[in-house]
Amino acid sequence: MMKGMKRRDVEGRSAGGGMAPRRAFGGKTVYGARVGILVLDSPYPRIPGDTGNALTWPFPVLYKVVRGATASRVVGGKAKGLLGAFLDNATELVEMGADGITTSCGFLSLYQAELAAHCGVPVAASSLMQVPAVAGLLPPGKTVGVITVSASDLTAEHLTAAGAPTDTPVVGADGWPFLEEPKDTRPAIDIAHCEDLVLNAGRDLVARHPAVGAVVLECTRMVPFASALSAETGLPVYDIYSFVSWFHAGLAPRDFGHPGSAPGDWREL
Amino acid sequence: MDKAVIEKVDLEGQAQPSRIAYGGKTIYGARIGILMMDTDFPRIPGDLGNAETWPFPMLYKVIRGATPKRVNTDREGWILDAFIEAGKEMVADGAEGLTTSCGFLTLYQADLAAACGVPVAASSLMQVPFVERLLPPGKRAGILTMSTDILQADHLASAGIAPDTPAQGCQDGKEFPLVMRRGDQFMDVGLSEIDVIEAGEELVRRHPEVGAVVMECTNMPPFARTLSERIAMPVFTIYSFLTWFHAGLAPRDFGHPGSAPRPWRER
Repeated sequence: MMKGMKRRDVEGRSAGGGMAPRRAFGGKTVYGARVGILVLDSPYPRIPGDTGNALTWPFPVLYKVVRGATASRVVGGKAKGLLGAFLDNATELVEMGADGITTSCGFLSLYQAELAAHCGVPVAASSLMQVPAVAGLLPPGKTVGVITVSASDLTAEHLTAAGAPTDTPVVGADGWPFLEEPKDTRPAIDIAHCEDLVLNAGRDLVARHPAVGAVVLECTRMVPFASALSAETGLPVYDIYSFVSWFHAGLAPRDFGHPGSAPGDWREL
Repeated sequence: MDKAVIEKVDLEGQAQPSRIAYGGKTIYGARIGILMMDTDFPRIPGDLGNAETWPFPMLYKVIRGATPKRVNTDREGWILDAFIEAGKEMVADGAEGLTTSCGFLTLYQADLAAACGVPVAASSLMQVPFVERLLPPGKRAGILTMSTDILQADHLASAGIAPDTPAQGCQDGKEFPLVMRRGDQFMDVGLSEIDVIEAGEELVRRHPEVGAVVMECTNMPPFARTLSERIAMPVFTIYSFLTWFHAGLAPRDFGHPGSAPRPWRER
């Protein structure tokens, strides 16, 4: 049946079973958490679905809070003066065990190139980087629309750094509460109000730009409302959850078990 | 849309938000329709054509007569029309997006999307520019394909891929490419793995600038994990591409407190 083919070895690995070596390789401290997440310094609640809620992820992740990187400094202030802090924290995540880096803010497309160059690992800094990939899926004549926390702060520079066309339709969820300086150490947010803001922005986006055929959510806090937004607009909705799940699928390809998988060496990237 | 805001009063006299469910198609819950070429070689778990591969339901449709040779080598003209017809049927059945069983079908991307009116993720190759953006400056995404004899400039151009992108085929392998080419009904998976891994290692040996690999072929994902470990690089496949595609077509409901009672619809 097997056409009489000779079995060959791949570096000490026999093709047909037997007691193949199963060497495990080290080189870092923590294993199994492939994605490291740089989180903005904010006391506002991060509910399931939000990048900063660990329950969001169907795989383990590593977190590092970038102290001093408040939402207002990153969104309104173009993250000026914070690059060093982001790079240092990213390095720590990689040293601990992360094989790729992401962030908790879509405006950090600005730091994509610097983060990747500095850390030497793949970086998925911003959900906005999905815009060209989503555009490639759509029928001719359809475009991708973006919903952001602040349309006035989202500049051509942010879009270009993410590889998104500068004429991408963008709508802001005006009044997004997380941008204000918190008055309290345990601030409370009405999630129903946040959902309203996102759904209204979605209605506005499709009303003003009828050619929009899919939505990308810039903000990592909008993910919990993606499902409702998709049902409301009838459009696919991509967010940091879809982006980082895809990122993870490349960093740690799934082992599908028998018969595609055989005993062999074990290592992370 | 008007029904969405109608409030009902339940038995206890409490106002309840509307949970109207909307129809418009026959089958629900399977968001992606897979257009399958006509093959009968084994498709093991991890292969796009094995339904167990997917963590969510899929719709499948086989285009009879569309063999790999007729599609990729002879490029017979009737096949695109047959794919479009089958794609439209799957959309009518319930698919919200379409894909195909062959990475070379970037060639059908624009025509399928235009004719069927839904998002299309025709080929794993469409990930190449997407992956490249993740990498440190100077690093490239490399393509691992069934055959660099088949992979032509028009495949790359239709997926928005730079023509100088590093690529390696496994057409010289002793098992994997022969099984597919001949249409064998049995395959030595161990030998096939060697063919794919050796081609992947050759890719990074010949092109040190490669920082991540994209597998063109939908039969390769079972070997992505092993290749990733051996070359110490991320490996993207049709599996990563379609799980991403699906995540946008059917965004996850994360439950309380982000999720509230509301109308239900798939399109």
